[in-house]
Amino acid sequence: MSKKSGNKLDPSFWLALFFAAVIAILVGTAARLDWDTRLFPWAIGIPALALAVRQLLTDWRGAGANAEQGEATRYAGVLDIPVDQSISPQEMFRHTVKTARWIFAFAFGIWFFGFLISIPLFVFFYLVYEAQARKPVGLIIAGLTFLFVWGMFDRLMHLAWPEAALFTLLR
Amino acid sequence: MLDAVVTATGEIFTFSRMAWLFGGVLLGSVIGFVPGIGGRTTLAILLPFIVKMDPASALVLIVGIHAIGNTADTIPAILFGIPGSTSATATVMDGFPMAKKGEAERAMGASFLSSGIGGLIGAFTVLATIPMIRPLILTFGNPEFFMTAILAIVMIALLTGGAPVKGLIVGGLGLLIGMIGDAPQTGVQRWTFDQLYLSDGIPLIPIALGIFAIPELIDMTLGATGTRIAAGGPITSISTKWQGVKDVAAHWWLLVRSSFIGSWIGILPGIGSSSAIWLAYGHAVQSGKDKENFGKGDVRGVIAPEAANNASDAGDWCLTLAFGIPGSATMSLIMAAMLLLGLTPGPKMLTDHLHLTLVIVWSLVLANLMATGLCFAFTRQLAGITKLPVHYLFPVLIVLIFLAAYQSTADWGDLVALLGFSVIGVCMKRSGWPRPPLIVGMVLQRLAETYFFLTTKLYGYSWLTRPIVIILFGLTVWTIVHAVRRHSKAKARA
Repeated sequence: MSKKSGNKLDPSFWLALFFAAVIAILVGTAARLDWDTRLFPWAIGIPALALAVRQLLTDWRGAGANAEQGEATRYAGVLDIPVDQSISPQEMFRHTVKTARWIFAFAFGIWFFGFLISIPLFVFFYLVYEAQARKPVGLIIAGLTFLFVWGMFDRLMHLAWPEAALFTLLR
Repeated sequence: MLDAVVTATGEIFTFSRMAWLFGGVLLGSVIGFVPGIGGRTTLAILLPFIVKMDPASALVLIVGIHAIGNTADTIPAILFGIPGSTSATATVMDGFPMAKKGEAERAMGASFLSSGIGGLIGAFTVLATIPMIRPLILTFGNPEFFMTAILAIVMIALLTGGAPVKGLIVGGLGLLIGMIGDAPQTGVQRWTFDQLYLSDGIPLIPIALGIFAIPELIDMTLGATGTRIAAGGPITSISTKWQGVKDVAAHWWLLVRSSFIGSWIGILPGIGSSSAIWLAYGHAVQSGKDKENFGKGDVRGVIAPEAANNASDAGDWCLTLAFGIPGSATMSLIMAAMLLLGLTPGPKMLTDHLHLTLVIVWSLVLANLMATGLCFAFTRQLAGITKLPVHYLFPVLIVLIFLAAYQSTADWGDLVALLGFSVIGVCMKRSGWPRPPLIVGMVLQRLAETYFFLTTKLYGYSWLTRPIVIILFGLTVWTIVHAVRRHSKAKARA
């Protein structure tokens, strides 16, 4: 899909494509709304879509040059917390996927077991298997975290916990 | 007026009232430290107890709880890159990089002091402008509010330095995401896809946490097991809280300007501190001679939003008290508490209950001093957290983030939004797309759309000729031209 064969498209291109697609869907579906309801979405969405397409083309044209440079220096002008340049993109990608697995596993745990069971489990397993903490340390931190959450969110704030899938199945 | 000042002073400086105030500050600081909870939840918990108190003591306690919120929510923003509330999102930009460089204590010192002074300037501004606040606000009609919102979005979108187009796209996307749910003027459901969760729109907290906190946490654990947050630099004399104090003194003019920006934004209905912080941050970047270090740990990026944050709070109080218009969700809760206490916010607070209004102003001043002192006293201990192994902190912080996101509406949708926007946040950070405009766009959407609708319906095209609109429009154009010229110069140098 690259303009220059053999060169990979920049990640910025894919995100521009995603944003352009989202904006296009929102602008397109707004057509079904009455005039007063769609006026502001169009007033914002149409110029945003035009800019997204422009960015898409810029990233498409720039893909070859970026790949040749092989550096992330072109992002230096973006005002945001910068990415650590000392770590290779491959290593960063691997690390992100690994950490995302833990986060999604925790989310799955909340859905299946509920908050109050999955919180100590997640904290304990992460500490022991990822942080390589000793099991007693893991148990203590998991226990303290559970007590804090239970005391503050359950007893004090009476947060309405969602029903866990496991208990729905067992009922 | 003088009688009311004397009465209010006599009412506040009693042992019991000072104890209530300090109790509120203490309670607010403990709960405010937890990301996403803040003063609103504390107030909601205490509401049944507050209504049984005498009005002056209840108001003092409310101010104590509320005032510390904007100071304490900075702590997780600086230490972990997790904004304690949406009012602390701008502080993450430079506060967290400072913590990573081993300058957490310096960042917190500067932040607490800026918050305190900003709060004082805000309170005194409110006090000074009470007699003229009505005509001042009335100079702003729907078109002026609309243009203010547009200027704020453009300013933040174009702060993105090397990527102005990306900034504008993300700002536009933020506005569009903010439009999900009921249309404010027609009540028609927009892009809800038959999901009940979306009918009220996606709450801001899961999005802010997903966009900012999760990507920072993932990056925080990049190093080997045992790595500390402050692995980027040794603790030196430059890293102490006193250096933060010196920084504030060195940039006092920025502090004053940011406080006035905050006060003014706070007085304008519906805009609130979430926008004031970004406007002040944008002002710090645009007015700074050397901009290279913003986003990489520049103390000015901490001073400006923190001063504006607390200053806008005072303006917000003014709006609630003088007009009965709550400028934020927390203020709605405070207004409810006042009604339960038998006080009706509105013009009568400036006539019949003027002494109670002045009790609030006094409480704001004292609570800000107490909050600053309390946070300042524990700066070293708090900064010590950055010396703990990040892999030990990570699971606990993830738990807090999930809980903070979930308590927005207590719906599964909050967690789905958190995860979805986390993925988007990581992708944006990795591929050089600026994240702040998304939040600002979302924050200002309802305001911008409501005023856009009213402006076009009530004024036709004549609103374009109003003097303040012309000034704001000129500022918007100048901001765009300035950003494009800067971008072109940077490209030419490269």
